[in-house]
Amino acid sequence: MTAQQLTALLPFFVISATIVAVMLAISVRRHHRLTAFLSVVGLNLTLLSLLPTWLAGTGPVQVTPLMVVDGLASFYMALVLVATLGVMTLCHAYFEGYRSDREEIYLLILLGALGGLTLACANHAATLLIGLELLSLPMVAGVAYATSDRRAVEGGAKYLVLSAGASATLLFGLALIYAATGALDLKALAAILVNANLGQPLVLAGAAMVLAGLAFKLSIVPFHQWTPDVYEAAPAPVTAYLATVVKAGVLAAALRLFHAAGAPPSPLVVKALTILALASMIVGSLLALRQDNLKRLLAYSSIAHFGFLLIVLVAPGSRSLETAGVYMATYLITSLGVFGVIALVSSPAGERDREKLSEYQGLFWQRPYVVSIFTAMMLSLAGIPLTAGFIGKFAAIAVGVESDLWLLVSGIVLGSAIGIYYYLRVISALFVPMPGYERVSESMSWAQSAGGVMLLLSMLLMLAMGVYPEPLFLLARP
Amino acid sequence: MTDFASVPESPEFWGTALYIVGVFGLCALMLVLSWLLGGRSAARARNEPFESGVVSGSPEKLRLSAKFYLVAVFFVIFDVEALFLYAWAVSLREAGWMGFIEAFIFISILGASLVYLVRVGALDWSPQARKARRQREEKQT
Amino acid sequence: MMNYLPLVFVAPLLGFLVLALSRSRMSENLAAAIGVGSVGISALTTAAAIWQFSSAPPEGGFVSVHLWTWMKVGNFAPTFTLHVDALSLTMMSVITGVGFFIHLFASWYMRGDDAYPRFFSYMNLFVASMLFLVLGDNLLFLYFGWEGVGLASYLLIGFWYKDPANGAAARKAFVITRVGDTLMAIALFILYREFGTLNIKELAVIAPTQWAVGSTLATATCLLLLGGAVGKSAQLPLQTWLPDAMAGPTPVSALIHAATMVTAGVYLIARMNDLFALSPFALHMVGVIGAITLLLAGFTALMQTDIKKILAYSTMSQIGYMFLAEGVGAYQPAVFHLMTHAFFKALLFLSAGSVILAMHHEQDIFKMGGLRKHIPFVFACMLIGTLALTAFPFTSGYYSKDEILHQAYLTGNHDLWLAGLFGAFLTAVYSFRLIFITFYGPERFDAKHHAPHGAHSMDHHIPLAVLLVLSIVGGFIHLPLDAVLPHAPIPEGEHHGGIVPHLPLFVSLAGIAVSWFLFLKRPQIPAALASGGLAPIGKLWKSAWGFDWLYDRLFVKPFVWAAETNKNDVVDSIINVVPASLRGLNAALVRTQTGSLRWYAAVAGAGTCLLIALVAFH
Repeated sequence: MTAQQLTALLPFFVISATIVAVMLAISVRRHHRLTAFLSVVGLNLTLLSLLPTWLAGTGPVQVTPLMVVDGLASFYMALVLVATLGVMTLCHAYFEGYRSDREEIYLLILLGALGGLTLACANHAATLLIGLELLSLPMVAGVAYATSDRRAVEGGAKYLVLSAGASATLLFGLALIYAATGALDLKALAAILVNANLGQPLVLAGAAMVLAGLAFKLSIVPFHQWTPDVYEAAPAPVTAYLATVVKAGVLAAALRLFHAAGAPPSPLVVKALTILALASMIVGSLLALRQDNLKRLLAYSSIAHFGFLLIVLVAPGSRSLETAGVYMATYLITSLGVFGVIALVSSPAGERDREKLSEYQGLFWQRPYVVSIFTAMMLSLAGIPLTAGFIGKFAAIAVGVESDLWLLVSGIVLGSAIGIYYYLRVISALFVPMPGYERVSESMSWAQSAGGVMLLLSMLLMLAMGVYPEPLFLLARP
Repeated sequence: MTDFASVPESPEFWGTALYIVGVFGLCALMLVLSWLLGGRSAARARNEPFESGVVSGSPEKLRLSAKFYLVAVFFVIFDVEALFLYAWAVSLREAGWMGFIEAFIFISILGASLVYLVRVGALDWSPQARKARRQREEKQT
Repeated sequence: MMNYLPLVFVAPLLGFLVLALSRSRMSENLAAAIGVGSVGISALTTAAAIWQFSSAPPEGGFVSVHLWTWMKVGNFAPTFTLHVDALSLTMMSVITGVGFFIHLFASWYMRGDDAYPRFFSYMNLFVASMLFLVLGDNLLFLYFGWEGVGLASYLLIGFWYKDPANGAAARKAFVITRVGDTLMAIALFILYREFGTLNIKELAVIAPTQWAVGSTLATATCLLLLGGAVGKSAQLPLQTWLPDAMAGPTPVSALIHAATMVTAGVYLIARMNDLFALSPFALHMVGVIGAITLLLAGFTALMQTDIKKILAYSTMSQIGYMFLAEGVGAYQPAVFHLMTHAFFKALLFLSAGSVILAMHHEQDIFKMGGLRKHIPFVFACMLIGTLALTAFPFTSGYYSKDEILHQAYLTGNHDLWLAGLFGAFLTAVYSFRLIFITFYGPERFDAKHHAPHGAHSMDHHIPLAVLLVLSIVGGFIHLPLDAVLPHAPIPEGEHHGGIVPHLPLFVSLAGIAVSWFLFLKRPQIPAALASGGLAPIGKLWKSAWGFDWLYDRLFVKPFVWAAETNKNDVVDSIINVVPASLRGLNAALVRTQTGSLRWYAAVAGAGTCLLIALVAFH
């Protein structure tokens, strides 16, 4: 192993060391703030350790046949780490008032982040599977973290069973392709997907199953049904994690499988992808239409959003790869903000997250700052110009237009049109006061203001991306 | 290359197909014959697994402690981890110092997780011990 | 070069954000420091830009400061670029310079108001938007600022929103200017469709090559642009909102409804002069509208009793002069008058604000009188402002207005010139009516309980003093506009001749004399006229020629009628099919979310099978 390869693997070393350190720290003494501090420091160091390889700019560094650290990997590793950092901050505010053990959630999140990094660098079916499992399994425990809550345990069980099923499907698909072609390397697999034809039933069936497995993790229709239930059951920071880190990691892997060859996948696969994308856009938006539970609404909205995003898997070329990165980054920052607000306004309640829309009625008059951020994030989700969401959506539509994917483009337009309705419904609820309301301003405690700083940062970043997206495009350029 | 179109033409295909049909046919034949030829009588005791001896049955309210499963899982996990060490042990020389360092890190992580498990009380067998630990921790914080 | 320029609008924008987020918790002093300070920074930045611009004049007479490209998709690459030339520098110095002193004055005027920080946040927002408007190098950028100032104007007119009348005034201003904005947006669509760009510099080059002079499309576009300008600058027929806009605090009237925002229309036409050159008809319409407006507003001002409304109508009429000037192609005098008008009208409004506060929020001039002894400094300010307004020699207004009338005469537009001349007479009459009734004559207020009290603080005196000086010396400023704006098309051989250049002066002096005779010497004459045979005309003038009544009959009543007839929403009931069907689909889909694990697994399994079928079978 050369020094260059070791440098490329540095993030993995740092985050693994962090995990062990946090574990030992917990076994020495349970201390919430210390654990959070250690984790955040570790994550920041990991983020820093991305720099040497990135700055060196030596191009892809192949580390054993299993992993490759290239531009795509660096970008998605950074996304995963930034999102994890955001989730951590929220966790600290959210779990401060939690009565049972609070420290393990950091361990779970760090483990998941390691999985995300692995996925981002995966160059082999084995790494892909390890990463995928490492990413999603800790979150089974994360979803069911409040073990005394029946709903949480139910959500965890659902996630466990369905996610295991999806992984099995994916594995089966890989096995079928392997049986037919003997390929396990992701580059080779991508080439096989490009050339797949009707004479290769095993390859096609395998591709479909791989697609099904990944679609489950990205909550694409018809593999979406777990999403609202699990989002609702999980504590708000874990929901944020599921919506950001998991999606970013899986998207990176999906890009490697469907995009690495530089040509569009075989028309057969494209047909399936198109139908999945259309179904997600429309069904996701329709389901969110009259939803009264905010977490479920956001789950449906994420289904629609990943329907929009699938367009990049259909269109070939570096342009759509860039778009995928931009879209993912904008979606990630916006989701962090949205779930962050839910986590912040929920944490003092303790029992159950504040998730019913009626509980947000007129909230602006009590918590104007937080609600202003929330509103901005909602507008970004809806894709209003000068927000990050607009940039992402615009880039996606541009890719569709350039590749003449008119069906998908009209799907995006239709989905966004429905989307504006339900996002605005939330916003209007925030500002219309309840009859007989009182204007009281809650003070922000210390733990909350750490989360508040994170929120403020994410909003500034969101607006900056919306007004000046050029650097983001540069970063996402493979 | 697997090609479904050419499968029926391969010589093994008919042999295998015949074999499968034969297996199912034999089972069906045995069941049908015994059903046709055997005598029948019905009684309550006849439907029990054992017609004589101790009356089978179990207390429905028996609760197995989750501890059993937890410890079993720990055993399996550490057992599987140990498996990797066998692979290393037989290739100790070939793996060289690099392998040694890797194995060392691996074992250290295992050790650390064992420490963690012990400290969080995952291996405390009796409820009393867990309760005592809980109280100690609460005093600490 | 000029990398610091964005600071000019970033500072007020930051000020707006900080003040808006403070939620009125901030102390008055801090809010004033932020609100006034941010505009001060803008003013300093502008000063630096002017110094740099004049000490080292850039090639071509302008500087482009490219900030960034918003996004780049195909040919569509909107950029944020600032365009700095003599015209935008003039506008910038008016906005930030006069704006700064008005802010300073406002920090005195608004003391004690509950929503002190809110007031300054809106003011800062206005300044930032107005700077966007004048700095943008493309019409999209300009339109963004255009809407921004409209929003700030709406917020500030309705600043004291607890009185429903103020809210109604704000709404009226917003809705009426919206009519103009829509016309302007259509003009932008046409321009983009025809030329594929909204960049002003590029338009100026491309448009003459593709459109013949006087072609229908050019005329239509220019008239649409004129519609936008008319709405923003309160000219006929969209002028009715400006008097109502006086419901806002007086510094707002000074800044937005006198010095800066209402002149945006003048700026727009000057900026687009290359386009208007393609349509002589539209350009002539600009002048005609200006002339009619200045006369109508002049007559109306004669009959007003509210001190701020008099000033509002006078603003309308002065902007009419600017339009008139542009209509005859005299863009430079128009911009010059824009600047001097900003000086003396801001001075007049601020003085009026001081009078109003001295009189305990009394705005009716017939409840004042003899005030010159009580508040001599304010009287001096008011007098100088009025002299400048009536174009008295050696005041700033003299140079600019004279120039306008002179060029109108020289370019052969004698009808417009006559209108302007008569307008000058009216101006002198009504503005000295204000002076004589307010500051001379008997004291018509209850001296015991409502004795006028003067102000004694520096943040009151300094702005007035500075504007006072500017109103006098402003006429000596030379604006280097030659590189940006064309000269008026004066035929060869025309020259200053005989009595014509001096006529405006005589007319003004005559107006002052008439005013003195009617309102100070023999006040019973106008009273008798108003109650006697001329009563209907007086009533007509007082109601601003009945435009509000006319519009109420023409637009509001039919609209209300249509709305009432259509109570059951015939149109919507057809459109409502879409949401209803979506709701139906939603209801059907929601059934699938049963929460049962078995069902979810089954659906996922079926989905996998379906996918395999999709991929593996053709």
